[in-house]
Amino acid sequence: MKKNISINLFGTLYNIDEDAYNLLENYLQSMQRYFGRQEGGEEVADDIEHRVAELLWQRREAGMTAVNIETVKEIIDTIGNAEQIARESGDREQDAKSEGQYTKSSGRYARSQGQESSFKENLNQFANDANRFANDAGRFARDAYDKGYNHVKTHRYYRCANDKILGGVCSGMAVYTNAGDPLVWRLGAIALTLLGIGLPLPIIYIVMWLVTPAAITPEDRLRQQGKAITPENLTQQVMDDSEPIIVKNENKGCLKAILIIIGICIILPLIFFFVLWGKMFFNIFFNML
Amino acid sequence: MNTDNTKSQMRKGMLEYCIMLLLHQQSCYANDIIQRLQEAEMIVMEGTLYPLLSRLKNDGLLGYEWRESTQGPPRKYYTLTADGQEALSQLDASWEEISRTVNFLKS
Repeated sequence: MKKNISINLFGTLYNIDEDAYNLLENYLQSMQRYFGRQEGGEEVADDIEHRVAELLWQRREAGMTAVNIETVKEIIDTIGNAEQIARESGDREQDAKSEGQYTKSSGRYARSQGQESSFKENLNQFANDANRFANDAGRFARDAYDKGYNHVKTHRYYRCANDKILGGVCSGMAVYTNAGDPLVWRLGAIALTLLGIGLPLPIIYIVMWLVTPAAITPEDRLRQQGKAITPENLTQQVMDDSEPIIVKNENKGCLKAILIIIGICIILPLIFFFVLWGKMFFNIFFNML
Repeated sequence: MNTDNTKSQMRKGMLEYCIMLLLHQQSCYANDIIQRLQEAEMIVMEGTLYPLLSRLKNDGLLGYEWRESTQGPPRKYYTLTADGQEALSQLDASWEEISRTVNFLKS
């Protein structure tokens, strides 16, 4: 059983499943965002919306009663997503831009090669073993750097709006780093704070809570995982999101309360200690005078 | 050799000409154009058409008018403008040239 909403597309009402609606709205928004940047692009996005309406009308005439997610997927496949359309219709600006990027990146490649050769010349005076070792270490560091750089380039940090206890910062870290369960991050953060190693953690947590965005749209969640925003991935994401995760969160209410209490238990003694230390230093200082 | 890229480049180059050829005979709305082009195996994805139509319209080669439809949402009917007719005859000539060249090289 699925929740069903009714939408008005150019004066005609359609009953549409909730997940199908999310997918369709997402698709139309991505069109608007993509073509809206170009001159006269709003018109293209509008034309495509008309086309969607027409395809829905045709299906309704053929006896469709409610629009489900398969229908929407079919429609998206026949029309195509924004990037495919731009590529196929011979978007000249796009071609020029990607060519420019290509030359720029190959320039960077040449430069790094140059650096590498001078690096090797300097090392030639050392024994072969040391040379090999340095090379290996260099390669290892470069690989690690490339990997990290790629990760940072493709992934974006978002707090998880659908899996959170306080602000979803920890679950966001778990998704962003693609390592560990959110629970591990949460327990780790609490343990570090309690052990005294991670004293600034509560403050960092609050700052991150305030500063970083929450993953709300399916696009956010794709960027968070470092996946490309393609219709297939979006469709998959919308389907995943329609699974009821929210129900799970309601059970966490008591856990949340416990965590808040623990948090207060940590912060209050901390303040107390700081005040005490401050007083102690003050006394020592004045005694020295 | 992978001919896919060459084929898609050829199609891209031809698409605007083909649209104008279709509109020369009668004014059409997007659905007609899509159907004709799909019959002719010119386009695979429908969405491809819209940026092209918009570009041709902005260049003043096409004009359109809205017509109410009893079958679904209102439709945009595209027609070739005088400039469009002019451009089409130029493209006709250049197509003649290309096909003559290809035929010459083939024989």
